[in-house]
Amino acid sequence: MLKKIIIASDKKMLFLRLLIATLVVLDLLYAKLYFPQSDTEFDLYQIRFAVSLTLITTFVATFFLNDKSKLLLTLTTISMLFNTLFESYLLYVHQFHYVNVSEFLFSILIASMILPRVRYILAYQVFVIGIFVFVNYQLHFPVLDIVAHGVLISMYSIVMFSFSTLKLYFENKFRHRGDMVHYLFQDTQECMLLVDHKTLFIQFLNKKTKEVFSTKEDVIFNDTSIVKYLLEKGIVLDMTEVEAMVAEKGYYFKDIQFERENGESFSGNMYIKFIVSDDYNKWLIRISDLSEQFKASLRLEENWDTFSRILDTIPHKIFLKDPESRFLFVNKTVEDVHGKPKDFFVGKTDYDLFPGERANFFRDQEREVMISGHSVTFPEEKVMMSNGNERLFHISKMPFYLPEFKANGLFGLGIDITQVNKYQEKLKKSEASYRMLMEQASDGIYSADKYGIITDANPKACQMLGYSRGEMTGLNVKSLTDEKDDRFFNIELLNFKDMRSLIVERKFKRKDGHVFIVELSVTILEDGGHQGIMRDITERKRLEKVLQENEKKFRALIESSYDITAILDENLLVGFISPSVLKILGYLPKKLEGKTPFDLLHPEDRELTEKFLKKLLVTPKEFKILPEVRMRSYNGSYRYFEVAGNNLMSDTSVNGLVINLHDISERKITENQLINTNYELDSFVYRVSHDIKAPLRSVMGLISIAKIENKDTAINVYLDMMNKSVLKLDQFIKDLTLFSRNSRMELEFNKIDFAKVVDECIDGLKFMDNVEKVEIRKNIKPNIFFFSDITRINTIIGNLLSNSLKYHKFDAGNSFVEITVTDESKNVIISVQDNGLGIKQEYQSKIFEMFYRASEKSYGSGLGLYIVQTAVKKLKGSIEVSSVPNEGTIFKVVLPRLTVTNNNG
Amino acid sequence: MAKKINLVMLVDDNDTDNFISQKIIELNGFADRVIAKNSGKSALEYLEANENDIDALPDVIFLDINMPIVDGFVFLFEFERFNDALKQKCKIAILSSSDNKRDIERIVDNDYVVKYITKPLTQDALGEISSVL
Repeated sequence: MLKKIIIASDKKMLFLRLLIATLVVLDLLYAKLYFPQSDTEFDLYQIRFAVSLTLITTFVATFFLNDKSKLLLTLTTISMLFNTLFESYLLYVHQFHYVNVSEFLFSILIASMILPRVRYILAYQVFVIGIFVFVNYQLHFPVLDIVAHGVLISMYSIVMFSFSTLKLYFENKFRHRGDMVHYLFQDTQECMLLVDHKTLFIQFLNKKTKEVFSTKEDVIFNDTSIVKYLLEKGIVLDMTEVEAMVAEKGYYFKDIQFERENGESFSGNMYIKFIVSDDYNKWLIRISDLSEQFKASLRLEENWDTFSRILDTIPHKIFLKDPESRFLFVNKTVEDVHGKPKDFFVGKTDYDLFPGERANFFRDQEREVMISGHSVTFPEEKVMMSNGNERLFHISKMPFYLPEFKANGLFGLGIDITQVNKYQEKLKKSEASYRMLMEQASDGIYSADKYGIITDANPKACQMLGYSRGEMTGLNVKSLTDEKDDRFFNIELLNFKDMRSLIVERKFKRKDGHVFIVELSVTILEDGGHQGIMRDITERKRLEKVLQENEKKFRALIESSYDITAILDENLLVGFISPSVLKILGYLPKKLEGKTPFDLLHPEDRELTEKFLKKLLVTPKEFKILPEVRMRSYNGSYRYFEVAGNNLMSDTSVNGLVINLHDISERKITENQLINTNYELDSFVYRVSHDIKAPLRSVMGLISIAKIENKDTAINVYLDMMNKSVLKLDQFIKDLTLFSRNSRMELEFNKIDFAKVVDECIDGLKFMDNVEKVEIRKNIKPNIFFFSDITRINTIIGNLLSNSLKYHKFDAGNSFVEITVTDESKNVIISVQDNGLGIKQEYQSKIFEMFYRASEKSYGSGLGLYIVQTAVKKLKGSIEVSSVPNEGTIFKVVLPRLTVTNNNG
Repeated sequence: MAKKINLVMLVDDNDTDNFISQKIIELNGFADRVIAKNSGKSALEYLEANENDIDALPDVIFLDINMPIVDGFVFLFEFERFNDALKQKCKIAILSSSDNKRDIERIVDNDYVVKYITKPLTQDALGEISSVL
């Protein structure tokens, strides 16, 4: 504050001093101007007044004010010199009048007071004494007077000098103190405020305060209330409370916290003290920033928390005990092992956890640890867990100095070695079983060090190589391999290649010199040694060789064959095709491999072939045949093939569809010729039968007209006979054409409606003689699902029915023909039964022969049953007859259900 | 008989058959008049000449299949070209000595053929024809 005032007054004082100096100069000039008439006399008192006024004003000002200003110093010095000169003049004029002497002394006093430095004062004193001596000389005073005056002046000067020195000393002291107080206030790291006691206006605040409270500009002093200032930060300051506490304790203290403008939180305390200053009573407020300490303490707590959580994650028992063996801290593992919460342990001892005897032992042990300062270890300590399991701990107890007890506590660490123990046991067992495996193994096993020296070998290895176990150990593996084998066994090589294991084929030599082939599986061990597993593959090698030879033969077979063999992959692309394709179709096998075979197929056959192959793809290991496929040869003509396919996808050596193409072109040509011949023959028969029939029909027509128009009975008898002959001939021609057609015509498949077929046949028979005398019974199972050649079925049923009707006993009464159609799972059975004439036993075997007629009554061609039989054969069925003469006959036809693919067989 | 038949045309290269058929028709009173044509060609010519004279057109045409040059199939093919009135009036019955299945199947599919009869023509066959007319 002092500094503040000084700084604030500097400029004002300078101005004031300048004013005074100007006044002095003006005053002097005025005096000079006022008395112009007197050259020697000018008003002494006037001058003295002006000079004195200047001096006094300067003095007063200087006393209060800082004297650092050089101008001020110069002014002061000049006015001082003027004053001294003036006083000297007065002394001279008035001849040491006592008034002037006192004035002169007084001026010296003033000068001593004003001049800021000791050496200025000294110079001034010398100057004064000089003047004094000069004045004395001018006045021609007696020496005694001069001495008397001199002594007086000197003594006075000495007093003045001492006084000024003292004054300067104190002034400097005060100034220092002021500076120190200022620096203390301004630069201290605490917030300092001075507040007016009555108005509570802030009079001063320091840098730290501004920083903490983010006060941007100077607080307008004596204008801002401290209460308001603090309230902005949310601090409520109740002055009555402050005064009450001050009255009681002499100070006021409060913890405060608020948010600073930079976002940090401020924590600290406020200390208020009442101070009595020179004029005004003030409140001195100190606010200490304890934020950092606060944060640090928070961090410390956090750290401890983290640390204890870390300890909790350690799967070992960790605990801390005080010098009385009471638990101070335990980690989570301890909690888990004993099944009690952490809080339980604090303050407890082992007596709360273990049986008395055990606890006694622990306590004594721990006491010794704490006193002696040496750790103890319990290698295996069984602890019953809360869940009843037994665990094994390796426990260490160490002395641990606890500052708060000023004595050793105890730090304990228990490592759970339950699992370790188990593993050790397992390891022992596994080692034992490994040994056993090695002893029992059917493969030869040996271990060797990094030089290839055998360290151990199992009985099988010994047996394979013909050495005893003792002989084997110590031998080098290299020496056991066949010398003639230039691919010598090189374990070092394996190491360089950085391979952990590999399988090789090597020739080994028995002790007796017999060489055999071994499949050797080598595993490199950590120490550079290796373990080898040997398997004798001599026999396997031999078989492989046989297999290879067989394959060669097989290949030769395929290559020289007239069949083409191909393997198609799952995308139906050619994977392999035998070289015979060149001979048969004219393509190089290589040109076909990897390509689709469909381009070679006749366009009409592609769809069917694709269907066939796709079906083959989904039916593994099934053999299928596609009877006929045309393939284009290189010269553009087509050849016929019978395709046999077998899905060998699952066979890893084939992994595809094996397709055999058997060239049937020659057969096909013959077949086509045959078909043509048959067709021609059929046309021929058709033409011939028509040409024979036509006149026959005309005759039949003429006979019937003749019979209508002629009434002569005799001629009518002849006409009837003629008619019969013609009918017989007609029937014969019909049979002949049927026979011809039946034997040559291809089967044509349709769904058979037996009821309809039977009706049609019966309809065709209605003009037969005596038909009306026979009852025709139909016994047809409805909805038989049967595909067959309808012409043949018609022929069979028609002929059997007509035979039954022809050879019947028309006069016997209750004559019947019964046709029965039934079906089994695979067959349809047609039987025709009658109670007619029957067939004699001796003829029964002949009735199916061509042109054989078993009855004298027969007027047929003898072809009927022969045609029936060939038709049945054509349909791959069978026919049998059982008959008793004069009682009846049963014909039984069994027709299998045919599938379309079978019909060409 | 469901309907009185005025005119019947017989088309057969065999005059004997034509004679027999005519005789049977007359004896049974099947129709008032019978025109016999001994070739497919002359039968077509007749129909063509009387295409617009409805009374001169036959109610039933008995057609043989096996004829030289214009056989039954050719006749049926040409018959297609006549106007609807003619085709509506003239019903065709095939009268053939062939009982070949191939022939029957080819013919029966034709829209204008009402019946297939094997020779010789009989009273029963005539009955059947008049029942389908």
